[in-house]
Amino acid sequence: MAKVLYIDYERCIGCRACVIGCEECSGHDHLSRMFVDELNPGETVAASPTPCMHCVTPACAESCPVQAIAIADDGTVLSASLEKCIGCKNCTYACPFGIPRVDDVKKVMYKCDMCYDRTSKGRPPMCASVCPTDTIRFVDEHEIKAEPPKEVQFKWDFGGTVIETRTVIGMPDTETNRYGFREGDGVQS
Amino acid sequence: MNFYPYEEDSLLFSKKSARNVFIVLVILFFSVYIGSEQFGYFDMALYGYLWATVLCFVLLTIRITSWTLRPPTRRLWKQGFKMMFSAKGLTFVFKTLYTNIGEQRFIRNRSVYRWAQHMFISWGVIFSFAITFSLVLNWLHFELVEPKTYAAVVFGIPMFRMGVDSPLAIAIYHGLNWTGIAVIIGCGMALYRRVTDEKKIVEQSKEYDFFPLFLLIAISITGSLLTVSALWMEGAFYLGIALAHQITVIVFLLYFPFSKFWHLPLRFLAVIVPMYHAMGEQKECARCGIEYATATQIKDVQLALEKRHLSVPIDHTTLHFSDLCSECRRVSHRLGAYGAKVHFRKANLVLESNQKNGLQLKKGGD
Amino acid sequence: MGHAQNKDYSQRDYDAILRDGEELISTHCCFCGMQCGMNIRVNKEDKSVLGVEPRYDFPMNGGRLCPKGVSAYRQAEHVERLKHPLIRKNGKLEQATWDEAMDLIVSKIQEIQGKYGKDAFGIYSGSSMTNEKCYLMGKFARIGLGTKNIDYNGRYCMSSASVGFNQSIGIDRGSTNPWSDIKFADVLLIAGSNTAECHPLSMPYIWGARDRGAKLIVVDPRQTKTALVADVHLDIRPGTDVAIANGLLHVMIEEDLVDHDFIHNRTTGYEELKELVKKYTPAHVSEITGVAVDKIITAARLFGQAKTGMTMFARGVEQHATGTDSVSNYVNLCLVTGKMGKKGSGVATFTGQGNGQGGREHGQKTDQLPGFRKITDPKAREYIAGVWGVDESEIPGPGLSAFEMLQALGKEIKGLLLICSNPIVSSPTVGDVGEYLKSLDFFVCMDFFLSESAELADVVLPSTVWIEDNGTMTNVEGRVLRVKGIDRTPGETKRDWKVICEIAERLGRGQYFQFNSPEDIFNELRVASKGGTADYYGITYEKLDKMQGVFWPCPTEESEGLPRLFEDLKFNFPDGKARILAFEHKGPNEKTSKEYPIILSTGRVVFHYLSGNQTRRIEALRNLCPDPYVEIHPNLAKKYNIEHGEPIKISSPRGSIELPARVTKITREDMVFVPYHWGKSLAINHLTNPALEPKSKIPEFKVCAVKLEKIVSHAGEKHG
Repeated sequence: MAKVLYIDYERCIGCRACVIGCEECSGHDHLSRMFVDELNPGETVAASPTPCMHCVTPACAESCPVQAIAIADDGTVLSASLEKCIGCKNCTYACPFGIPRVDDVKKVMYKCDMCYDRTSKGRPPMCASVCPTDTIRFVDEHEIKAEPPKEVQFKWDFGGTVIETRTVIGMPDTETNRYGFREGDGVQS
Repeated sequence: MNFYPYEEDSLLFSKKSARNVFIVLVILFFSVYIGSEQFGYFDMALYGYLWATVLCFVLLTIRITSWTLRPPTRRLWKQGFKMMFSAKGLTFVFKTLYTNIGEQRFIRNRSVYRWAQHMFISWGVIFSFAITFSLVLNWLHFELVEPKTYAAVVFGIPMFRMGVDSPLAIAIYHGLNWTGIAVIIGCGMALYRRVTDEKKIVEQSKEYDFFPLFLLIAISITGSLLTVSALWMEGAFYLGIALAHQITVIVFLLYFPFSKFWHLPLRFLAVIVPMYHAMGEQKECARCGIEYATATQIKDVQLALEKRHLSVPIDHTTLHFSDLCSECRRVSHRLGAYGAKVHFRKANLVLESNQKNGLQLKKGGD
Repeated sequence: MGHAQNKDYSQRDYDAILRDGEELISTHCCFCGMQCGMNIRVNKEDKSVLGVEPRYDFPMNGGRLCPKGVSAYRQAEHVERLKHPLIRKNGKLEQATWDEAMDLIVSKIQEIQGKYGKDAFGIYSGSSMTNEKCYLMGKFARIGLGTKNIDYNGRYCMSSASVGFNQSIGIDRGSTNPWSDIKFADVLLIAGSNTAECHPLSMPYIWGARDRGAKLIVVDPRQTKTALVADVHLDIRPGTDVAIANGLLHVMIEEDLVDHDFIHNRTTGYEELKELVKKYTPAHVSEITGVAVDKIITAARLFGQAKTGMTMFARGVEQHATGTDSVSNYVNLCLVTGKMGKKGSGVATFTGQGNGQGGREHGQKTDQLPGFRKITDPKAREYIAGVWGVDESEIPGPGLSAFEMLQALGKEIKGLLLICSNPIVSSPTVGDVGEYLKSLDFFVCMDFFLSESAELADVVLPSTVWIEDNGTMTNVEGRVLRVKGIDRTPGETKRDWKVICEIAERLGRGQYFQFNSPEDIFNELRVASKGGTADYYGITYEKLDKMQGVFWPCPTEESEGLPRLFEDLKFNFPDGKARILAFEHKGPNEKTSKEYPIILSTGRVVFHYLSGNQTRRIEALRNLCPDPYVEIHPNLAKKYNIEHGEPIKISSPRGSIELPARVTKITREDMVFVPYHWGKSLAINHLTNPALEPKSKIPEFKVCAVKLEKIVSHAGEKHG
């Protein structure tokens, strides 16, 4: 029963508990791998967290000139191995979701590994553990993809290139105008 | 997983490997021929080492061939060589050679303890390689030119002379002992860290992380024991120890191209990186306009992905997601998902969801 | 799993990870009234604090934490912690020994009280500490020092809710319902609460209700994250809460969406209300509040038509010169529609301080004795005198309320003991408060960081942080919980209850303060609260552990507490009927004028807690929100020609401040908003209005009139 991250970003309050919580994972060397971005600064307070999407065909790994990015048996895309990574940043540009980061001083790429030390023991990653609003949840992969509670994204079609991701994004309910003031034809950004 | 082959020509790898192995073997043969003064000087004790070394070079050549065939690797090497032809590029490379490989500053920035450990191991191993290869391939040998004087001969050319008991001579004879000691210290530090920090190092595996350390220690200890046996034990167990040492070294040489030690060749590619980042023209994010990369690198990444059938374009535009900075990539996805228009201010485009979770130019455009 | 009372909460079915060489201390967060459970990772050998591990099995938060909670432990090993007592010598605070400090404190207390009378030494206390300490402070003031002048910072925080609840339903428990009831409400009306930022851990409950299809109405001048996802956002002009509630009542009465049975049998005062709200037509209310007419009508219908529902509010409603009126008027919404005493029906206030609830129950409020007893009630005085073993006449009467006490410093009050508070950041007109504190003959402060207030003290005593002591806290729901600590006192730090007992001993009052542990204090508190409204008598540490917290009232040893109040629909008045009270809209104490045309409102951000003395020192939080700013609507900014990020000068009749503008559409066009967590030149409280609510004595932090000025840089002038 594989579990994956489910991001229902309509619920995000932009508090960044996930960002700080990420530092608490033993394997993370106090470097946070989580992102929280404001979606419409100046317009609304809408925000969204983004962990690694854990692509089935990760562009980061394909773009790495030294094959430093490995994929664990369960499909988790790991951070670049310390001794191989040459800090070239190809992965940070190749990733269509904007996830990998490179520490310029330590010359090392780091990204979400779903808290390998927690998930390997059956516990949710730190972000899903601490998220105060249940924006980030740790759920059964099959269930969330087969019977999602609302419209979700996990297959992405970029000009014919289809990338499936293990992480699933829940889309906000905009039918009933719940997500911000959408005057005219929508919030611009 | 991505099952697309690296190259359209499935025989390309075999062809290139065969060619490269041939070139390497020819070079090796001639270097040995010259070094041993037309096969005049041959240390038969090193015969086993010689074949293992040759095999190691062959395997390494094949491994490097396979590696450089990968589109991003090939691209980066090419860019590196191109840039090195300018004075600025060359200065960069020498500077980086010193900071990255000489001083290994990036490891010191990660942790001082690991830096010290790595300096011991890396320099220990590199000097051991240098000494071993030059002796085994006969690039270097010593000739007794006078009863108490040795001459060092490199590729058949006598370089300098030294007294048999001179401090220099002792330092050189025991070169491998000194490097061995350095390796033992470094490996000890590494083992200690692996055991005490076990819970923090999440992705360590026995085969990948522990075996190489034990192998290095085994080589260094058996090597040092040879000296101990010869100097203080009147040659006791010398043959057994020598055999053990030979076996560990041969295992190491054959294991080298496929193990953790493989990162050593990779580091030479790292030398190119700072130059690659500094010498290109900066590129602005198509949405927010910040400078986030060099135009060359973005092009290179897009080419590499295209070869792997993983292009991530934005429909009905000439843009790819890599034309945005990381933050704008994350934000654009979310905006598209809830039906907002996504303004790429810098590129002066308005986008919307392509209804398949990607983005496209807004229909009707404005 | 667990006790039945916790069935509908948000605990999760995972165990915490325990790593080699570590132990887990399962305790609660030191910030805010949610009192989220957390495990602190401690090195078994040297007892150093290593990190935080989720406490998945705790019902309230199920391991979830906000950014303050995740990083709270980083205070424990913080380099800026006070490790030894400080005494002011030649104008500078210098390291001293405990003996020197205690000798000085005791001699000063005796000197001041001898010269000016007992009441000349005051105590300004706080509500972020355990029930045990709050109780002890009240007792120490009354029979240790013998002063009537003790009050606490909860006065700035919860006092309007307290008065409002008492006058409407006869009891002041933060929530009439367990928090899990939120999930079962069909409609939620949240007023004056930036729930998402100030009580993030309430959000899973609100989403629980939303997932069931519940409607959400948010009353807030700003489009907070809670408002962003609301069905109706009533974006009122600050200070018009009474009017908006009257408008909602008007529509519900007009459209007959009220519960006549409930009103007739369970309440009094409905007719007066009906009469009064007649003139509060949606159009009239829209004029006062600035909210569109159709939004008022939609909200009233959503609320009136729902079968169950809760009204919840916070400081945005309470910190006004009419705070108690507003509270009671929001309670009216539930009373006229019969939304009380059922699963999913009730009223609640979001407790801001860690122990905001417990801190106001056990006698550190100047007009109150333990168990919510009135200090003026002869029976209550008699009972407590008996528990304490003193003569009734030894207990002083009511003294000055918090802000009044600060104003009296240097006049009636010559010496002050400050504990667990930082009034020079958190009070209105902080500039003056600094002068008040400086005019004291003697000022002693107890804290674990050198707060802005402590910097002015004559003696600073280093106390332990929250995870180095044991005790109980009472959360937003009225659930009493166990806080567990590490067995250590770094450097020369001491637990504050021990220090208070020691001072009592040195003052010759030691016989009343023979406590060897927090549990000793708690056992006395249990007896002292027995028979009071907040009855803790039946609560023991053991029961708290077993049940994951117990709701008061818990009057007997057999009792398991009362999670939901008023299930029998008998309210806490002799006739059992709730009081429907009617209020006219008066508006804020300070109205905008030609000179000061803009409204200033203040509040919190998710990254900081109260005066920021703790959270500003935690690097992760400081990096996320380093400095205050002015939220200003783009149209208003345009009027003053102010760009995003540019500094603006804001002035009220009391002071001015320069802060960078954050141009955003989330605030109204007639106001600006500034967060209040900073001190000194960054303190927005230089500007706020010290006008006090007549009943609760809460200052009007939420509204004052200001003017804005663009700051013209000199460089700009040169360029012409």
